[in-house]
Amino acid sequence: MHELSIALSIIDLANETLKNKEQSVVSEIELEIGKFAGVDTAALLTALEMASARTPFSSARFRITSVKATAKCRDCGTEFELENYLSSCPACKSFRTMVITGKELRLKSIIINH
Amino acid sequence: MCTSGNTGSSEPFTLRRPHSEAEKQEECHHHRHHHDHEHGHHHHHHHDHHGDHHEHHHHHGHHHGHESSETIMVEQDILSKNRNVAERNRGYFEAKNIFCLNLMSSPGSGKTTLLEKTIAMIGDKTPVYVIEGDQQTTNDADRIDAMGVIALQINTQNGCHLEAEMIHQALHEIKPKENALLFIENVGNLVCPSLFDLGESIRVVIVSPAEGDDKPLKYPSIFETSQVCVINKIDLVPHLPGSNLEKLKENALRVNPSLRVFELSAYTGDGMETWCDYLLSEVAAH
Repeated sequence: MHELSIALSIIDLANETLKNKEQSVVSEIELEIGKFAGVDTAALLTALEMASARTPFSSARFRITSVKATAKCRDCGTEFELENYLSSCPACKSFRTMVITGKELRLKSIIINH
Repeated sequence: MCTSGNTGSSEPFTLRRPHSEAEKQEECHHHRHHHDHEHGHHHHHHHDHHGDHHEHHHHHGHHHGHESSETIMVEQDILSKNRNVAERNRGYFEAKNIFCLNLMSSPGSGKTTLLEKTIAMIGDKTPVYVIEGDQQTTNDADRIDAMGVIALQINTQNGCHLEAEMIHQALHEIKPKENALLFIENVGNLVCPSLFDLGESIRVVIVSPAEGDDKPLKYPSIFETSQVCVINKIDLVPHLPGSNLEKLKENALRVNPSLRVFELSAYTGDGMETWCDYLLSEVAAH
């Protein structure tokens, strides 16, 4: 449900970025969404469609790059890819892990056409 | 009272004093500032090219030969605005030595009862303030208000979580004293609130045994981002066949090994003293 809030934040951030740009057509917005960011990609795309209506981004393509989740073991230091929050360290089986990547919610780039 | 601001991302919400009627409320509409832009850009999508075979590629819109494209690298956190406001709140709490708890749980885990009992036990030892988040009604703020504690209700309307800006505005309303406890009761939801930093000192996830021992496994994010877990309604365990308190605790700690777990019953008072001692020690420690 919070995807709409996130979509509105994306549009705001994009607007701010283009504030001082001359009138141009936005063709693409690239987003980086981590696997553990808590965002449903399909829901986000639907929300973006609504949030971008009647904005300069209404015809832009929203491209979502997924970022895989990785963690570091607090006990032995091994870095590994996380399947879920319960994945244990493949080296020492410890559950004491720390998420390194996978929580990204980033507006990466905007492509505009002059 | 409500600054209708350019905070952008929030949906409209209302701040309400306890026992106030809905019709009298001022609404904080967070206007988005891009509604009056020119919409000319996409008109070429609607060109009518009937009978013109050379125009079939026009649906690409932006790829006309004479156009040049430019990639602007933004590389910014989408929730940076919320995070910035949250950091302002956090600085305010630190400066005034306010221990702020963001209470998150599913609806019905007993957040408000836990607050009532906590206030009854320590309300005379330290100033307590409460910000209640619900989609509708001032029912929860009314219950806190009845205990003589300053409470403010945030109605998120359709929103499923609280955001930092709502807390920022609520702080202007309640003007808390120094060396105090501030409880923020988030909207009952185990998913969305975990993404939004409010500037709190700690995050508390509250769960009750009736919800199932595997709650932490089903909704790991909220347990992963919390520092404290309160297992409430432990008095119900004997009445719940198949419920296993140890298993629930174990699952919570599997998701987040550094969680500090309190087992209590706000209803019977069991375990409440340990919880209250912890809160008072946190206020004193700052």
